[in-house]
Amino acid sequence: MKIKSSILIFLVICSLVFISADCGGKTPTGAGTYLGGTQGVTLAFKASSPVPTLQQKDTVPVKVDLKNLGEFDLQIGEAKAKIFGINLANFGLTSAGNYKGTPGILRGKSEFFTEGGTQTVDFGNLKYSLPISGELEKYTLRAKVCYPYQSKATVNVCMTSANLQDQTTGICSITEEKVAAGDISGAPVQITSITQELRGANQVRFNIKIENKGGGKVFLSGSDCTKLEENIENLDKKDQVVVIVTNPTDIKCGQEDSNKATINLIGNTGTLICYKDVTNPYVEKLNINLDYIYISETSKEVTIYK
Amino acid sequence: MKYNILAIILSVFFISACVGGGGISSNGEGIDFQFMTNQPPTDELNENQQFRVGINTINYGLENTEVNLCISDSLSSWVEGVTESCKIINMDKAEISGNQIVPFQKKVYFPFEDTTYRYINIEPNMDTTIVAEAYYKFITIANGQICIKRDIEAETPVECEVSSQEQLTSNSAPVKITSLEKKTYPIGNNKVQLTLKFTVSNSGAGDVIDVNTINSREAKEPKISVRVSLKGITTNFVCNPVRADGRFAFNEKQKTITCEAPIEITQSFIENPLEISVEYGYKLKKTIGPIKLIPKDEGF
Repeated sequence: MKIKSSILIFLVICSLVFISADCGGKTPTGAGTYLGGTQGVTLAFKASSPVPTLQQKDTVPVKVDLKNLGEFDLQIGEAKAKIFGINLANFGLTSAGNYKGTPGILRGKSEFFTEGGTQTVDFGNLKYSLPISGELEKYTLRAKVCYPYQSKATVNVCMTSANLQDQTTGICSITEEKVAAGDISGAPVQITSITQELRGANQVRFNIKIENKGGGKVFLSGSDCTKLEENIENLDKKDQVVVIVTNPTDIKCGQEDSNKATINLIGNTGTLICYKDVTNPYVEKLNINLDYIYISETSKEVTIYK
Repeated sequence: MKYNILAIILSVFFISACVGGGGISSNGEGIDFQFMTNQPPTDELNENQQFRVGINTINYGLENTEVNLCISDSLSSWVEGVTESCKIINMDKAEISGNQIVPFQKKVYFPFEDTTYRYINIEPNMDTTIVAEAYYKFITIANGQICIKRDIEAETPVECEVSSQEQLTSNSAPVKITSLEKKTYPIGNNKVQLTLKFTVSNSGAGDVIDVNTINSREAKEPKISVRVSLKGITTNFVCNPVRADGRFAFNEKQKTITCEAPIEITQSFIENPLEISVEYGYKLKKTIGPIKLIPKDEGF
C-alpha cells in the first residue's frame, strides 16, 4: 500500500508538471542563440598614447584601441579610425586626419570568445609646433571609428491568420511580445520588439521595432566612411538601416514589398511592417539581418606645458 | 567626536577655496609707480632745503620693458626746484609664483641718488606740485579657443554655434581686450568666413599714446596696433577700422574692432586657439602736492 501511494503521488506530480508546461498554446520562447548586448566596436585612446600632460618639447605617440564587443566579426581594415576636431598640422598629425583601418581581424564575441577582439590603430607621433601662450594650453583630442556591422535576430513567431484561428489554439499565439533574451545578437542597432497582428483573412502582420542603442550614429550600409565626412553625403545616408528577412523569404516588408527593406530611424527608432500569407498554423523562426555603417567617437584631454 | 567631524568638514571648505580657480592673479597692471616716503617731503619745504625725488617703479607685466620716467614741477626755473628731466629705466619682467604675479620693482632717484634739488627765491604763499610721468610700450595678449563649423547642420560633440560669445583670458594690462563675438558663414569649397568682433578698452589710470612718442613725448594722435592669429591656420585678418599699417586711432576709452578672414576647413568642425594682441604706448601721470614752500625770512 505504501509503495502504491508513493507511485500515485509521483504520477500526480508529473502530470502537474506536464500540464503547466503546455497549457494555453503559447509560442515557444527563443532558443537563446546569442549573447546579446548593445555595443559594437568601442574605441579609446591608450592611456599613455598620448599621455594626458606633456611639455612642448615632447614627442608622444597617439594610438587608439578598438574593441569589438558585439557578435559580428570584422575583417582586416574594415573598422577604421581617425583623429578629428583640431588642426592636425599644429600637432604633427596631418596623416591622422585620414581613416586608418585595423591591421588585423577584429573578432566579435562568441560562446568561445566572450571578451571580443582588440586591435590598435597607430597614428604616429604628436609634437605641438605652435608657441604656447602663457604657461599651458589645453586641447581635446577626438577620435572616431567607422565600421560596417550586422545585427542578427532569430525569433520564434506564430504563423496564423484570421481563417486559421480555430486551428491555431494549442499551437501558438500572436498576442505576446516575441523578442526574448538571447534572440538578438550583440550589436549597437537592436531589434527591441516584434509584435504580431492578424491582417485580412489569411495574412499575419509583423511590427518590427528597430532602435539605435549604441550611443553612436547609424548610416546606410555600403556608405563610404570618408565620403560621410561630406555634409551632403552625411545627411543623405544618415539614420538608415537595411533589413533583410532571411527566413521566411516570401515575407513582404515596407514599401519595397519584398524580404529586403530600408528603414529610416527617427529619434533613433523605427518600425518596419511586414506581412505574409499563411495557409496553415505553425511556429516559425523569423530570421532577420540588419546591415548598417556605425560611427562612434571618443575624446581625451591633453595639457601641453611650455 | 562630532566636533572632529565639523573641523574636518570646515577644513575641506577652506582647502577647496584655496586650491583651483585656475587664473593667475595680480594686484596691478602694466607699469605703476609711487613716490617714496618723504622723497619729496609732502607737507612743506624750506627755502634752500635739500631734497630729492624718489620713485619706486613697478612692472606687473610678463615681459622686460623700458620706461621713460620724467619728472618736473609746476614752478619756473627762477626758483630752481625740480627741473624737467627724464631717465630711461630698464624694468625686468614680473615673475609667476604659483598663481600669483610677483612684480619687479626698481627705485629711481632724481636728480641722482646722491644729489639733491632745492628751492630759492621763494615768495610768501608759494607752493609747488611735483609731477612724474612714465611712458612705456606694452602689449596686451588675449587667448581663447574657438570652434569653427564647416557644415551648419552638422552635429558636433561640443557646443559649436555659428554665432557665439567667446571667452578670452588675458595678461594683466591697462588696455583690455574683451567681449569677443564670433560669427561664421559658409562660403563654399570647404571655406568659412570667420568674423571676430571684440572691444579694446582703456581700463588703466593712464592714457594710450602713440608708441613712437615714448621717448620724444610729442603730442600725437594715440594709436594701437592689432594682430589677430588663428594659430597655425592664418593671421591674414582684415580688420576695421584698422589702417593698412595695422593700427587704429584710439581717442576714446573703448573701441570695437571687427576682423574677418576666410578659413579653409576640411573637417566638419575644428576647435582652434585664437590669439588677439594689441600693442600701444601708455602714459601714466602722478602728482604730489601742493607742497608749501617756506621763504627764508618768513616769521622774522
